[in-house]
Amino acid sequence: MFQMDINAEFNELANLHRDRVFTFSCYWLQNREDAEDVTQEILVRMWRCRNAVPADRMGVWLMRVTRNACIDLARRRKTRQHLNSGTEPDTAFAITPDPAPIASDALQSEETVSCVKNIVAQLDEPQKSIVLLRDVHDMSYAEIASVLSLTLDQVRVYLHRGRQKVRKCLQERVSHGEL
Amino acid sequence: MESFESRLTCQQVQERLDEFLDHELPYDMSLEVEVHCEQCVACQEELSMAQHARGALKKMPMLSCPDSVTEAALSQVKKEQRREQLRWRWPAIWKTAVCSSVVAALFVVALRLPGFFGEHTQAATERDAQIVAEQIADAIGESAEVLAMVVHVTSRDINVANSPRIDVVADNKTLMDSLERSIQKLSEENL
Repeated sequence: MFQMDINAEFNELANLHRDRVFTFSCYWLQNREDAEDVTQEILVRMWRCRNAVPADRMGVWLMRVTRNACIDLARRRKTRQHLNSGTEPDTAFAITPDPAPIASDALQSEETVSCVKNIVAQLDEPQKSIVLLRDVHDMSYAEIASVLSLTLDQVRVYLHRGRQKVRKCLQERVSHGEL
Repeated sequence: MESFESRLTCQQVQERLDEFLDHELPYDMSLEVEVHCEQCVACQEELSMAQHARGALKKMPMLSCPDSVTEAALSQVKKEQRREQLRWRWPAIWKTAVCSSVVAALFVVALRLPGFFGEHTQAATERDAQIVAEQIADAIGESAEVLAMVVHVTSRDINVANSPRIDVVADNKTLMDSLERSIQKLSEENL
């Protein structure tokens, strides 16, 4: 009886949020296995905190802890890589100063979407999280501000900068004939 | 709309293009950006590029979380709940175990004591009698010789009184009679 209750209750809660958590971590980490680990961890934490977090705040809370888990994992991964290679990992984000205009049809292709995923994954924080929360998760600026503990103005500025970088990277790739 | 003049500069408009596309600008500001872009070719191009990039970003689909992840999480949750239940049961188990151990240890120690089955009572009462005898001797001002008899009597009768306290001994009529007789007999012998 108890087992049935826990199964049903857990699955109901998990089904509501698991895709959002998985999607965010997958795009953020650019690694499916890591994203699965993070999602599992977050689902367990969600269950532990289910009575402490109000239902209407659960989405915002989940996105916050998911982002924190992704940052932690990336930090650990970075340290591992650094220890393995003995060098600092390259985190530079190249932006062309004078980009060429983007062809509309190129931007709509699957290839472009895949390219956008890579560009987003390389954005700095908090721009990456903001772009993902806005463009993939359709969260409002106010919700994003709440997730990241930022002001609305900060969200506006970071989102603008993040999208600008995406735009410039796309223009760069188009100008190099990669798209 | 035709008579509306935008007061924003190109830079101000371009900084607000994302908010404009996200419908996050107040109505007045949104109108100004829209009008400005209609009149300004550079900003129109910027808006077009922003729209295309945003379109590409919006095409990033929501991904489906594999069932194995949920199953693994559920299994972990169940494991944690079992651990939690055990954690709550442990104090009772521990208390019982510790109490039983203490009782068992005390029993073993008691068994090893000399005279557990009676002899120690005699030894204890001898000591008690000594104390009582000294107190009585002091109280009645008798000599050390009397004391020896008193010790003998009280060590026998203290079992009845079951207390080394002189007031209890004094309240015990049998004991006091016995003491008096012993002292009297000793005095007569000495005379």
